[in-house]
Amino acid sequence: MGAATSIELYNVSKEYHRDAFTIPVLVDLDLSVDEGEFLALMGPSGSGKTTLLNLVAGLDRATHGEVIVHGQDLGLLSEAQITRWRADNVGFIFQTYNLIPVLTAFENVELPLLLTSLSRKRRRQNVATALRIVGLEGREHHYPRQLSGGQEQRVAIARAIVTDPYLLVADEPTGDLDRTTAGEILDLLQLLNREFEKTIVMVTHDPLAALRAGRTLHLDKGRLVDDVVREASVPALP
Amino acid sequence: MIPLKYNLRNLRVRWKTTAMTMLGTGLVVWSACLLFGLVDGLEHSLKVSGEPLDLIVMRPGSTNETTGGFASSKADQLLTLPGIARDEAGHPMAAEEILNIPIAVRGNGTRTNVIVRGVQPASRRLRPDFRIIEGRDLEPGKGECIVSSATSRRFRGAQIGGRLDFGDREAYQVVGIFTAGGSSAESEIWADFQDVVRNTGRSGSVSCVQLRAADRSAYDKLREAIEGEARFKLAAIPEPVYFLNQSRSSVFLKGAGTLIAVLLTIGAMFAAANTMFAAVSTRTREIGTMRALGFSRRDILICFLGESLILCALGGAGGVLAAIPLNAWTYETSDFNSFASVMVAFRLGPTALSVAIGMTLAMGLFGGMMPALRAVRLEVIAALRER
Ligand SMILES: Nc1ncnc2c1ncn2[C@@H]1O[C@H](COP(=O)(O)OP(=O)(O)O)[C@@H](O)[C@H]1O
Ligand SMILES: [Mg+2]
Repeated sequence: MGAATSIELYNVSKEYHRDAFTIPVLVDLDLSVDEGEFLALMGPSGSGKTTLLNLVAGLDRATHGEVIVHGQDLGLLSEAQITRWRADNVGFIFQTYNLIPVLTAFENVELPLLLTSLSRKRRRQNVATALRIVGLEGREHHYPRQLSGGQEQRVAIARAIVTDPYLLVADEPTGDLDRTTAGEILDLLQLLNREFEKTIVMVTHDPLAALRAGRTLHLDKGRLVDDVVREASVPALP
Repeated sequence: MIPLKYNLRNLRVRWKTTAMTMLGTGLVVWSACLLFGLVDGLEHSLKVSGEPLDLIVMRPGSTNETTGGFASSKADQLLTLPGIARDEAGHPMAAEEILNIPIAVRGNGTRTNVIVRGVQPASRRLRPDFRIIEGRDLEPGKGECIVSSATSRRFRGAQIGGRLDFGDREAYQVVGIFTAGGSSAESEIWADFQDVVRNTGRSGSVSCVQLRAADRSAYDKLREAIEGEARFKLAAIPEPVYFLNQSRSSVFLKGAGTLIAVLLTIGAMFAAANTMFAAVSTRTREIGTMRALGFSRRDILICFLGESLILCALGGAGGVLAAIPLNAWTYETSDFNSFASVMVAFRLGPTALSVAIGMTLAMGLFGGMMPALRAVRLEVIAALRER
């Protein structure tokens, strides 16, 4: 794999305006990510990692330049279109899991499927499959507060993959977890990348986590300062 | 669409706020039910009192039975007019009646005017669904009377076996309790025509004649004869028109009720809005997450408006349920013409229910609108950064 291009950024800048000031967050970024790549984004706090992730995931718009994902120029989509596009193409994994507390694990995973036209039965099957992939069979009826942090993040990952999206974005997915649990979550992401051929962009502070990715980008003050591609990513910890 | 269970469970999770808001909206809806239940009761009694083929014959120019007397000789001739409906026994359905407004003493010792109506046998058939529900009907010439159960409960001496004393010359023995389909007759004390004439010394005149036409064409002919013929020259007022003119207190109640309902609704709207603002702000990150997952602004709007509506509907339903026991309740007011006591039976009818539903929708929609719009306007990335 690795032939087709998955994510292309041309001359992308992002600025925020506060009062009379313009805050440049991303400056003249060019980037190309292949299909099926597992990309880690590193850099100091405030360097623009989350902002870059948001642009790629269609949550935010570039001030200048083009963001093209899976052949789609995101700048050309209306707000309603880009919302729909996200539902079809992107799975989200957050540092704080962001599960809906009043919904069970099953219902949380089912949530994005409510935006599709799938039958109840098909939804049920897809949720079961997603929960099996993340290793949470038997926990369907637990509420988030009845689960550990690692389990919550697995539910969140199941929710991210249940619609079979093209791209997974993860913002510090192991930031709130202990080392062992973090390792398990990273195992899972690696599995999704290798077995299910998901393109993954993951923001992390943890160099060990970054080693799981095939490529690591370093951002500093909104600029790309380093781009390391490994022959093969480090295998899962024993 | 965001599933309804999301809203229901959130309402359950913050059950204390939910309960408080329900209490507020419920009380407001209950109060509106109370006011408009009286309007419904009054309008119902006026509506059932007005039979389409019934005529009330009074002195021309008079608008009320209590002020409409004319000579008995004319009344006697009226009873023989052709075209009057007949009952199974062949008796004409027409009755001379005489009204008197003495002062009665309530159970608590206060005084008020009441209507005593001297009736003839046919009077009963001219009222909707007249029935004796306790004791027996009065016998003519014996100084007996019958009353409604509301009157029986309210006035001294109005219980079966009791005696209603109106001064030295007028007194009646209560022998039975009647109902008349919730019509205005239930506010009156019924005695024998001749007894009332004798007691009040008003022989030679009647207050009105009530009659029912056999059919539509007889009805028109009767009206013509009564109003046109030289021997009568009386007013033949259609019963529905007569009672429509008596509905002024209903108009007043409606006006006051509407004003109060509007003010209360606005108050409750703020309570609902407050609750929903809190809900939106504690769930900001959830909203951001759902938007990231692909739920549209419209989904969010429907979700939070829906939650506000459910919240207010729960309160509103509670308010209506709590108003149901009031159905056994009768409210005493004064007739605008005669100042006589009028019983209004509370009735959770179409007006009260539609006002309750309208208020609930207004509280839910307008109270929920601002918070829902705040949820809609949230920027996804800002909402996701929250907390
Ligand atoms: N909505 C915003 N308005 C103004 N400044 C913002 C906004 N969002 C992010 N920033 C700024 O952009 C910079 C990059 O933020 P972010 O992408 O979150 O960095 P990172 O994820 O690398 O820590 C920070 O300096 C942050 O303060
Ligand atoms: Mg960040």
